[in-house]
Amino acid sequence: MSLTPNSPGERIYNGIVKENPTFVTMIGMCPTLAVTTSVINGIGMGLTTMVVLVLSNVLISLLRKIIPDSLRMPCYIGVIASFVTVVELLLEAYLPSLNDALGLYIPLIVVNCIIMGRAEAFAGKNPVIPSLFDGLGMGLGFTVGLVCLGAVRELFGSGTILGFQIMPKAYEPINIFILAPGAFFVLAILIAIIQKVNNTKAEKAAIEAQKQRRQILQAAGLVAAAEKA
Amino acid sequence: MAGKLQVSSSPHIRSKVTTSKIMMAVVVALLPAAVYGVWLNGGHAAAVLILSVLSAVLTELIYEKIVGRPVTISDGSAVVTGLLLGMNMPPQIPFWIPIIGSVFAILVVKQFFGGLGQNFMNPALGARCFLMLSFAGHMTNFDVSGYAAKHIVDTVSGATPLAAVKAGETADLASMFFGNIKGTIGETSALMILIGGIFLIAAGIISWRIPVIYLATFSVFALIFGGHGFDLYYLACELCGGGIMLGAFFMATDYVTRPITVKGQYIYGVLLGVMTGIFRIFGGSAEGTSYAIIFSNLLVPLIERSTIPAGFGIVKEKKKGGEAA
Amino acid sequence: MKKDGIAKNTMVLVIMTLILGVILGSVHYVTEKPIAAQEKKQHDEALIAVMPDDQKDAEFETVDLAKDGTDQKIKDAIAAEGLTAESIDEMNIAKDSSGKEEAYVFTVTTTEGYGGTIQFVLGVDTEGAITGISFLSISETAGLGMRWAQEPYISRFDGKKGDKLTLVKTTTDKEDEVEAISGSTVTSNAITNGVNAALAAYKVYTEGGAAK
Repeated sequence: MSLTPNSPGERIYNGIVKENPTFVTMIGMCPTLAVTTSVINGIGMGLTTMVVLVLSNVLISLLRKIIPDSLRMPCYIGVIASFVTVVELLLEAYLPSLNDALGLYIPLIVVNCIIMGRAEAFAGKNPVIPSLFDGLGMGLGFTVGLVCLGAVRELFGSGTILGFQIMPKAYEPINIFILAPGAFFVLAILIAIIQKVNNTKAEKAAIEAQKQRRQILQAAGLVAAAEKA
Repeated sequence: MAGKLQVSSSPHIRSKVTTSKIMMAVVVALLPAAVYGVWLNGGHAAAVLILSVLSAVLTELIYEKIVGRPVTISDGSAVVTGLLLGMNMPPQIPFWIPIIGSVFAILVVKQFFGGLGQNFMNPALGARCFLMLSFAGHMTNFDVSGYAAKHIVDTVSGATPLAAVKAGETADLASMFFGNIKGTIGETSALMILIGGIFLIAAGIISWRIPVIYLATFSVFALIFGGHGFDLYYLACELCGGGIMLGAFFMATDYVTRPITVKGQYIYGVLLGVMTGIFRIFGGSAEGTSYAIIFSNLLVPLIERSTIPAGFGIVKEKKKGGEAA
Repeated sequence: MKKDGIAKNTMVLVIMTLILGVILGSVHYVTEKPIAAQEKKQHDEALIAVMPDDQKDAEFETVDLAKDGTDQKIKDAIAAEGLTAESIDEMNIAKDSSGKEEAYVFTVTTTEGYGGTIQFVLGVDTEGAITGISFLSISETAGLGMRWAQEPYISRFDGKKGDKLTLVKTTTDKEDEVEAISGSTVTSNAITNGVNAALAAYKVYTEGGAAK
């Protein structure tokens, strides 16, 4: 799949698949591990982070020509912290149950590596529209990661998904999945599976590439070189 | 030419001891406590032990086949892990819990980190703590079957005599020593564990260092901080109750997770004693051995690094301006 | 080229903080009332939770405990029971639509929980019987102490009555005995002590209590 770099589609694909914050670049781990005790919490945190990401990416991108290089950090933090406060106030006023569920992890979004990272790496150097979609993509990728983790943890630790009883009544929930050690276990296994899939893909691609090189060399009559390729 | 000389590289002298022989000795040492636990608690307990061992061995077999590694179940370490885990279960525990525990112990704590010799934590204890966190209700339910209730002395109001001692009651020391009390399958009889432990020390499988230093440090800690002054009866109850005997002789001495260096073993024993004391006396629950041992396991690499003995013939440099000669 | 002069930097920071200040200020202005309304709603919901099913439409009036030194009398009564870790945060009177007093609702804090502080709401009706208990903040061990916050354990206090409740290990019909959850002695003790503190406050209020 070849997309134009920095086009909206490419930014979204990048955030969800190529540079997924949870499974590939592995940043923003603290809220990932803490908040994924259920799917709905994961979705809530993911979307909240996405909103902050988009807003801060856009504002930072708009101001990127004005903010001097030496003042990057205080300005970025100021912007991010303000938007987190805005989101927190809005949640308190209109979605108090989500506010309670996420608790003190909302203010912690300020220091979520993902937001600072994208501000530094992308929004500070790129125009507004790509920055907006970069924020959207990374936020969605983060949400996808949280939902995967939350689904496994909620399924085994409470027997439910999104509050609906999935496991049979006789299933006794394994508490550890809702606790911190469980988060680490599930994350480790998910990352292991994804790495295995990526490695197998890479191996297959390498074997394909080798086959093609040999074919080309043989067709050109360079049989000896073909053997070595 | 008669009398050819053979050329080979070291080692040239081999002992007859193999991993499986050592593991067999450990199993034999555990038998008194295990048999007593089964005698006391009946068929369910026997089934728990058998299932733990079977699941541990099967997990190792299946995993090694799937990833294509050599099958190592004949070295007996999976059997020991399964047996130890089974002995740490309450007598009426539903069967699926020790099975899950064994799978966790062998798969996650042992195999994922590289198999025998590479685990950083005692697998049986790691699994026990995993089960404690996952199924707290079942793991603290020490109710006994009708068959067992006939022999068991239950004059205390706590779940186990150790819990009662923590709450300030006096427990019956004799029954705690001989073992007809409530507790996990293998930990109730201090006497049986001692027999096994002394056998292991006499057979040279484990050294006296860790168990003795562990129990001694714990005793000193309990006497100073236990709140009962120098009451030796209280101390004896603390030593005979809970898993500290089983832990001191069979878990803390596990070759893979204890320090290699001699000085390190002394430090390890002291650390274990202090931690068990802190968890038991100042912590919320009456039992502290499992967590003390696994925390100390985590610190072992650090302990080993700081107690490396001087190599033969190497003289430590004297500091400048220090003592002369 | 961005010049790094002090004057320029200061200007930039001033502009930034102005922009951010305006954003924050306007959002705060818009959300102030909804937030206050939500807080009151959550507060009342916690109080309603302890009312019996046929009185779920009660209105609450917060009692000013500082008046007449009632709060000091409550503290003394709690201390007299030997309870050192419990305190009453708030007291509300539940009235039905005609203004008749139906129950007294106490917000209790106890600091001797296994996992720290437990805060709960307890309702006591006009005869001194407990109408219900609901937890505002509890972080005990999952599967053990936390079960107090779920059915069927949370109903163990319903209907209990007396100057002081005692914890027992077995199911009981006695009005002043409550069955503990086995394996969570510390949590059960903390909660029962909190309930007893509320009962002591109830006694203070209804007997010596506030002038009507």
